[in-house]
Formats: sequence, structure tokens, C-alpha cells
Amino acid sequence: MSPSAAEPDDRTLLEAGRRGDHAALSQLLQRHHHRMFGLCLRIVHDREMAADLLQDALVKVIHGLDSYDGRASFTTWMTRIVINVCLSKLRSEKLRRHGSLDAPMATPSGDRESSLGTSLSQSREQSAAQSVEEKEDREQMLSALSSLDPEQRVILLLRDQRGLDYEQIGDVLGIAVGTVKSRLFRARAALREAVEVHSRRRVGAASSAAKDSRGRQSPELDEKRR
Amino acid sequence: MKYDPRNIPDGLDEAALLALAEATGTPGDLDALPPDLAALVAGMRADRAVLASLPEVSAPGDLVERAMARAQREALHNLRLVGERTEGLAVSTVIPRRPSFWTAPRRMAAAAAAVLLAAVGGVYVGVRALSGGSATRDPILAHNNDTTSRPEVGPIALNPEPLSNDPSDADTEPAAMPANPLILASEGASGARGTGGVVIPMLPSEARVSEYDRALALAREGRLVVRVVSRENGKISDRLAALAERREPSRVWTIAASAPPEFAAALTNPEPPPSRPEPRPAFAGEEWKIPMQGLDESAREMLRWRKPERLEQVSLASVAPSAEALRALEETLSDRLGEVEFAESDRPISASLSAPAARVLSPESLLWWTQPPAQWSAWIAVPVVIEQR
Repeated sequence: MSPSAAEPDDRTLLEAGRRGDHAALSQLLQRHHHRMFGLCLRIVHDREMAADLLQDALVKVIHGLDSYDGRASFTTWMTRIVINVCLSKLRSEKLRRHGSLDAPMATPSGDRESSLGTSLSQSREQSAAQSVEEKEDREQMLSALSSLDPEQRVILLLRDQRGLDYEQIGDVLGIAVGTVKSRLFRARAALREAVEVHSRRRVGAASSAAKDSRGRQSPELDEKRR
Repeated sequence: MKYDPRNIPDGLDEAALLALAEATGTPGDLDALPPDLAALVAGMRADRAVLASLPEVSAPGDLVERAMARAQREALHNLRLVGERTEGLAVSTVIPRRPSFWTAPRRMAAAAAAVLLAAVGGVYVGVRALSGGSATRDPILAHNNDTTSRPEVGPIALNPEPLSNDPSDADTEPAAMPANPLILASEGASGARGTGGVVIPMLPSEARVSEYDRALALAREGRLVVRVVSRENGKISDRLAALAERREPSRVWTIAASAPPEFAAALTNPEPPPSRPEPRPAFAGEEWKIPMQGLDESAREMLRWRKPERLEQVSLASVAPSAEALRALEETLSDRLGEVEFAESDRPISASLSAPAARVLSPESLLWWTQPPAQWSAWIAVPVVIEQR
């Protein structure tokens, strides 16, 4: 969601917000809050908690407008605040162990009934071209992602979902570019391993389901044969 | 496959493998890698594609509004707690705080007004105390200040305007003669007014005080003469000069070594006394007339001024308008020069001259408020006539 030519850029809105222009400040936050919410949601895997944490982060952003020095972009600075808030929450409550794909999640239309998995299903159903395999790959990816350490989860999301380059990731996380590369590669390796684990588990579940199905059907076949 | 950094072949590192994983990829580009590592990198490419394809989610619609409202509440809360502003919002535009009435300029103005009021009050009280409790326009001065005995301003006389030498001026307004109760009492007891009423006995000390009050009233009219009969002839000039040179801030009188010749001539050649006008009654009703015969008795003892037989010298004293100042002058002259008497002139003596000491403009006289309170009010010129025994 980048500003169009007619819309003021982040810096203009930021300066206006610093001068007490609430409308400008609201516009600036509205411009970024959906992507930040998605980041929060992928980190904590709980919609309500993601909303609460993002609200905390936005309050910190508002209070910290005067302290923003402009060395990094506003998006990078805001992302750093959001991630710090989320990671602090996860560390304090050790939610990493309890992360669940069944947490409620809103659809783009604002519904709160569906979980992350069902939301993905609905999204997939809206597009007839998406195959069942893609859907299963995404569900499997989200499950694998939730099993990673939060720090690994964050760096993967920043790189592959937010599309930040190494320097921006270094700015957000406060680490050097070399460290970013090293952590990112290891996070990819950990994700690959988690995906394979989930894939084997899914294959195993599918084969056992097939066996059960065959077992339920065999008495009928025997009776027909007789 | 479980990743193990030790399995990375020589010539490669994690950064190189990461570059391969994030590259677009072409067929056969991973052939140089060991099979396990090539499968890992290929899986990473697939994972990256799946991650990038995850759908966007929307935040609750009112999230930003709730966050801004909460930020405002927290900022206000911080303001109320310790008055310190933490960060961010211009909270003062949200709830303008009504400024206190006592702003800094108003406090300063109030302090300045209080100081000014205190200063004026102090001057008023001081003048009132030194003038014997009459801070208002003195009836004698009210009568005389137009044409006759204008009192000079002690050591800071800035207006030595010549006073009238015409004795008839003092008599042009018979109805405006002194309404001073002291004078009225004196005149009433001497038969000018009716008698009767209550006689108030006086103690000797009270009688002496009334003599100084009487002398003060005469001095204000310009009719008081201090007569000194010297004990030692021939040394008067030196002693008078010594007294004239004394400059003590606490003194309530000063004296000049000599008076101008015309002033001495007016004293030594008195004109015939004019007819005294009837004094104005103090009260309209007879029942309210208080003769104060005790005061009158002491006042009647005051001498009538007469031409001196053996004149030694004529000087001019400047006295603060108080009985205490006259007492101090009398005591000093009595101690240094000789026997002192207060005499009453029938007419105002030519007082066109001020005391020489009063004409000196010194820094102390300009900074009048640095002087003792006794010197803040107008001083009275009193002639001092020294006679030989």
C-alpha cells in the first residue's frame, strides 16, 4: 500500500502528525497498519492477541514520533517497534509453545469467525485456479512456520513476506548484514526441516485414513462377493 | 534432510547457499552441489515461493482509532500525574488547561503595587507622626502657605521661594485664622471666647509638652522666636559655627552660623503688632467647647517677643515639624550656648530665607528616602536670637 502521486508521503504525514495533526497521523498509521497486522498475526498466530499487540505498538509509535530521527524509513522504524512488541510478548508468555493455527482470524472483509486455516480455504475457494495442492502447501507452510523459533519466524517473514533486503532487515532487528544472512539461511534450513516433518506427518495421516477407509469398505465387498 | 553446517563443501558458505536459495534458479544450477545440499536449496526455493504467496490479512477496522485514543489517554494521564510530557502528541491542543489567574506578569505587578503601597503608607505614617498627628492639611499652613510662612523642606529644600514680608498678608483673611484647638484653647482661656465647661487638670509633664506643641504651632505660623541668653559672651560665634557644622543623619534640626542681615533687621526692629482677628470657633455649640485651661496656662507663659537689648547674633534654625524636634533644639542650645526661651511674635517674621544648610544639595538630600523619617517632611525655619547676659 504505497502512497499514490496525489497522496502525501510518509515523511509529510509524519511531520504533520508531529505538529498535532491527528488526521495526518491517522492517515499515516492507516497506510501501514494492515501489513503490520499481518506480520503480527504470522508471528503470534492469534488474531485477538495480534490486534492487541499491534495496538500497543501503534501507541508506542505515536508516543515515539518525536524520537524518530529519520535515519531509517518510517516503515522500517514502525516494523521494528511491531516486532519488538510481538517478540517481547512471546518471550514473556512463552506462547511459542502454544501457537496454534486454530486461532480466530479475520478475513479481508472483517469477519472474525474463521481461523487462519479456514480463512486460507476461503481464499483458495475464491480462486478456482488454485489447486488443492497449493492449499495444502500453504497450510503446511503455516504449520511449519508456527513451529519455528519466533526470531527465525520473524526473519523469514521480513524477507519473504515483507520483501525487505538484508540491510533493512538488519535495521529492523538491529544486527549486521552478515548476521542477517547467516540467520536467514539457518531459518530457511529450519523451515525446510519443519515442512518435511509436517509433510511426512500429513502423508502418514493420509495413508492411515486411506487404510481406515478401505477397512470400512471391505465388509460390504465381502458380502457382495458372497 | 537435517541441515548441518559441517556438510557444506569447501569453497561454499552459508551466504553463498543463501544466494542460491534466493536466486530465481535455472535448470542445472544446483548440479554442482552435493545431492543432499542441492535438495535443501531447492526446497528453500519452494518454501520461499509459498511464503511469498501467503494471502494478506486485514486488521480490525477501528484499530488505528483505538490506538490514537489510547495514546491520548496515556499522555493525559502522564500529564496529570507529574506534569511531565512523555513523548509525542501535542496534548495541550486536546484539552487546553485553563491558565492560573496569577501569571508571572500579574504576580510581578501585584508585588510592585504592594511595595509602592507600603512605601506610600510608610511616608504617610511618618509624616503624620512627625507632624503631630495631623497629616492632613494643617489649618495654620492652610492659612499661611499662600502668602506668608511657607515652610521649607528641611535639609532638602528645593523651593526656596521668597516668602512675603508684608505682615498685612497674614491678616487679609481673618476668618481663616488658626482653627488649631491648641490656639483656640489658648485664646479662649485668655478671655477672647466664652468661659465655662469642664476644667481638665494637667500634670507638669503634660504642661511642658503643651508648651512645645504651642511653640510648634507658632513656628508653623512663622511667629516663633528662640531666644538664647548666652552664658559666656564672645564665644558664641565659635560655638554656633560648631553647631552649624554638625551633620548627623539622625538630627531633627540644623542651624546656620548666621542669618541674613535683613532677617536680623526684621527681628531687631519689630513692627507694631496688628490687631488679632477673632479666632474661629472650634465647635458650633457652646456645650461642645472645651477650654482646656491646663494647656492654656502653659501657653500663656510663653514670652512675647520684644526687641533685644544686647543682641549678640541672629541665626536661623531649621526644625522638623514636631514637638520633639523643638525639644531637642532647646536642649542642645541650652547645653552649648545658654538659657533658652521660646518667644511668640505678634506677626509672622520675615521668613524669606531658608536655612543655609538646607540649600546644600547633597547626594543624601537628593536620595531623600535614604534619610531618617524625620527628614522626609517639610521642616520649619525658626529664628534664633542670641543675646548677651
